[in-house]
Amino acid sequence: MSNAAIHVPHSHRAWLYVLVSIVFVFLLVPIFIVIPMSFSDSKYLEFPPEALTLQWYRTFFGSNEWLAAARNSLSVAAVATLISVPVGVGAAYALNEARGRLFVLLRFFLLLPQLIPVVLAAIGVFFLYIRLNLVNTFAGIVVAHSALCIPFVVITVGAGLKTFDKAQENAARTLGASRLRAFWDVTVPQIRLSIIAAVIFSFITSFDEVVIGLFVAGGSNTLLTRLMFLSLRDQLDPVIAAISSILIVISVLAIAVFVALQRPGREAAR
Amino acid sequence: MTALSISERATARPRREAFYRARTSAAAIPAIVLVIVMVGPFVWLACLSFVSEGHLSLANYQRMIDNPSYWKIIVATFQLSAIVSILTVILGYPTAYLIKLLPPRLATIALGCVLVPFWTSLLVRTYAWMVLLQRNGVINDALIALHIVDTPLRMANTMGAAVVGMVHIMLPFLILPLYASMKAIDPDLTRAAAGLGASPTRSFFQVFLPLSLPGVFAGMILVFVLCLGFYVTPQLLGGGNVVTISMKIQHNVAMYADWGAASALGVILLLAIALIPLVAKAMGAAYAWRMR
Amino acid sequence: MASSIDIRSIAKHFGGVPALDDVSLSITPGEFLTLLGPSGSGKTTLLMCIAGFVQPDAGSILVDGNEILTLPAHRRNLGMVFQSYALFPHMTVGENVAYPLKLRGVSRAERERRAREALGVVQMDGLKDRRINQLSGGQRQRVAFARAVVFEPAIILMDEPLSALDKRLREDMQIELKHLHQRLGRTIVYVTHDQKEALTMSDHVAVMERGRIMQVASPRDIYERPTSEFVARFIGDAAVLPIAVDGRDGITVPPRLLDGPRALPCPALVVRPEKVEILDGEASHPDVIGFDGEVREVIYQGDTILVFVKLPDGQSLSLRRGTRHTVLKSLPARGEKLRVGLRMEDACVIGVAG
Repeated sequence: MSNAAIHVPHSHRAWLYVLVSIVFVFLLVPIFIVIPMSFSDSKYLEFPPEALTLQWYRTFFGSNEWLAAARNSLSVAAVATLISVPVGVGAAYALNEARGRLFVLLRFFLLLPQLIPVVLAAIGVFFLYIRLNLVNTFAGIVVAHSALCIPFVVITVGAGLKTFDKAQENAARTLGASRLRAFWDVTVPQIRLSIIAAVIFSFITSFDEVVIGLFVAGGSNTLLTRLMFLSLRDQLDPVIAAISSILIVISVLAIAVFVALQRPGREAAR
Repeated sequence: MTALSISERATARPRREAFYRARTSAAAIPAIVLVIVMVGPFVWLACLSFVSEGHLSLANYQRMIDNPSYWKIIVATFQLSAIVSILTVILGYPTAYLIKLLPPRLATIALGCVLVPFWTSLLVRTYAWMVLLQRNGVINDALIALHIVDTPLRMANTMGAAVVGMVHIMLPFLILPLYASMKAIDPDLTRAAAGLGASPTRSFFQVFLPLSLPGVFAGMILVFVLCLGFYVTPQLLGGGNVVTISMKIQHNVAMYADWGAASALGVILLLAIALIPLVAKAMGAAYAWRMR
Repeated sequence: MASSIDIRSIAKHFGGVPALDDVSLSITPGEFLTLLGPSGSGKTTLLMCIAGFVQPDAGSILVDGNEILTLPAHRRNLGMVFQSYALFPHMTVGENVAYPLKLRGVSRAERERRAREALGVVQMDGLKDRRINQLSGGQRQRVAFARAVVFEPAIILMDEPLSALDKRLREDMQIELKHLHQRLGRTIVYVTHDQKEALTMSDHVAVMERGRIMQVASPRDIYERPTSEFVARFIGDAAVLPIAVDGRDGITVPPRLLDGPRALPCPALVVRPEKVEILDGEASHPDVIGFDGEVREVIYQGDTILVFVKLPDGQSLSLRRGTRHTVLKSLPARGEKLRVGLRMEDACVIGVAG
C-alpha cells in the first residue's frame, strides 16, 4: 500500500471518514431513493411510502404518448450507436496513427461535439435543419446524436488501441492480410472490450440527451427525455418517478453486463 | 518485371508515401463530416451574429451592452459556475484523497459508487433532487420531524436548489481525474517528508497538497467550463429564478426566433469557455514558478 | 525456393534525421544474413523497408530482380518473426499457424495438414490447441517461426526474435534456428544487437552504424579482419593502438605489417585479448610483435581471466586466458613488469580517424 510509510491512526482521520461518507450519501441516496418513492401512492411521492402502488408504472405503460416517446428514444439511440461506433472506430484508428500537429488538430476536431456547450450545437443544428426541412425528423435527430457520441467512441476505442501492440497488425500484413483485413481479423477481436464499452456509452449518451431533442425532436418523433423535460418544467409528474426507476435499473444493469463481460476477457489475457 | 529506372523511382516514391499516410487519415473522414454537420452550423450562426440588416455590424453585441439584463445574466452564470466549482472542490478533494488512501478493493468499490451517478441519466438525477427538495419532500419532512424548522422551507426553484443539483452532477467530473492525478504523485515524496521528521499533517500541507494542486486546478476548470454551458439542471431546479446564458440562448431562439441575439450570446459563451483554460494555464504556470 | 535480395542506395529520413544513408547490400539465395548494430543504427528501419512498413525516400529493393517497394506489405510474400512474436492471443496455436493459409484461400483440410507439418518442424505439433498465453517464451518463439514459414515464403525476416528469452534458452534457440535455416534453405535476414548471436548463426554479418553499413563479411572475417575502429570495438573486445608512422605517436610495428594493397593514412593495430601471448624473456622473434608493459589489474571471471597491461606510452591492452590451474599459477601479479606479444598472423591493421 502506498500509504504504508506514514501511519496515521484511524481516529485522527475520523473527520475525513465522516465528510466522505456524507459525500457518498449525497451522491447515491438521491438516485436510489427514487425507486421506493416511485411505488408511493401519494402524488407527492412520500418517503417512506405509506402505501405501495404500481399506478405510476401503469400510467406509463398505458400511455401511448409516453410509450411512443420511449420507442423513439430507443430507436434513435440504437441507430445513432450503429452509426457512431463504426465511424468513431475509424476515427480512433486514424487518430492513433496520426503524429505531431495532425494529431493535435484531429483530436481537437473529433472531441469538438463534447467540447462546445450542447445548447450552441443544438441551436446551430436547429438553424440548419430548418433550411433542410429536417426538423422533427428521425434522420435529423439521429445525425445530431451520432455526432454527439463520436467523442466517447474515439476516447474509449483510442484507449484500447493505445494498449494494442501494433506489431500484431503488421504481423497479419506480412502473413498476407490487407490493412482492412488485418484490422478486422486481428485488431478488432483484441479491442472488442473497448468497442463494447463504446457501444454502451454511445447508446446511453444518445438516450440521455435532452437539449438537442428540445429543438429538433418534436411532433411524432418526440424523445422520452424531451417529454420528461417539458413535463417537469410544469409540474412534478409522479409518472416520471416510474420512468426514472426503470432508467436507473437499466443503467445499473448496463454496468453489471459490462463488468461481467470484462471478467472472462481479463482471465484469458493472463 | 524489371526494376524501375532511377528517375522514375525518385519521383514516384514520395508521392506514394503521402498517399499512403492520407489513406490512414481517411478513416477519420466520416467522423469529421458528422462533426461538421453538428458544429458547423453554429460557426455559421456565429458569423451571422456580426451581420445586421445585410451588412457587417456589431448591432447584436451593442444591444447586449445597452440592455443590462444581458449583463446580469452573464454575471449570474459566472457566479453560479464559480460557486458550484468551489463547492465541488471542497467536497471532491477529501473524497479523492480518501479513495487514494483506501486499500485497493475498497477503493474499487468507492470508485464504483462515484461511477454510478456518472452512468445515470442527467434528467433522472435532476428529477430526484426536484422531488427531494419539494415543499413536502423528504428533506422538509425530516427537518420538521427533527424540529429544526416549524414550517417547510422553500428550497425548490431557488438558486440553492440549482447549486445542489449541479454539484451532484459535477462531483464525478472532479473526483475521477483528481483521484488519477493523486495516484500519480510519487508516494516516496511523502515518505521522504516523514523520514525527515515532518508530522503527517505537515507533510500533507507542505508536500502532498502543493503537488496535488495542478490536478485540482484542472478538475476545477473542467467543472467551471461545463457549468457555464449547463442548461437542463439549472433550468429545472432553478425553476425560472435562475437564468443562465444557455437558458437565455434557448429562450431567444425558441420564443422569439431572435437568432442574432442568441448567436451573439453564444459567441460570448464560447469565448469565455475557450479563454478560461488559457487564463488558468497561465495561473498554473505562475504558481509553478512561485514554487521553485 | 530461396530468393536473392538486392538493396540499392536506400535512404530514409525521419523528420530530417537520416535513419538510412545510402545503404546498398546484396544477399544471395539461401543466405543467412544478419544486420548487426547498436540501437538507432538503422538495422530495424532497413528490415521494415524490406517488410513494407517503412517506405524509403529513395532507392530500390529487388527480390529476384523484381522491385518490391511498389508492393504493399501483404503482397510481398515475406515471412516475418517479430521481437514480441506478435502471436494472436485470440487464436489457438494451430489457428495462428493456419492464418496465412486461410488468407490464401487454402482449404480447411489442407490448412490443418500444413499447419501440423510446420508445427512439426519446430517440434510443437502436440500443442496446436493451446492458447498463446499458455506457452512459454521458447514455445512462442517456435510458433512464431512456424507461422512465418508455413506459407513457404522465399524470404524470412527476423527482428531480434530471441531478445526476450533468457541467456541459456537464447543460446539453444540460436543453434536450433541455424539448423532450421540449413534444413529449410530459405533466405533469412536477421536483425540483432547481440554480436555473439550474429557470429553464431550467420553466413554473413552486416555491421551498421548511424544508418550506414560499415562492413559486410563472414563472421570470421568480421571478427578477425575488421576494417574500421567501430567494427573492431563493437564486435568482441579489442584494444586499438595507433601505430607510429610519419612522426605520429604510437607503437612501433615491423614495417612489413603496413605493406598492404593500400597505404592507410592513420594506421592502428587491433589487438584481441585472447590472441596476446606472454613472452618469457626470450629473444624477439621476427613473427611476433612485442610490447613491454606493467600489469595494472588481474580480473578473475570464472571461465577466463583478464589481465590489463599498461604500455610505456600510456596506452593499454588486455589479454585473456582460460583458467586452467597451470595458467593461473604462471600469471604475473599486479604491478609486475612483463613482455607480451602478438603474432603477425593475428595482427590486423585498420585506419582510424587522425
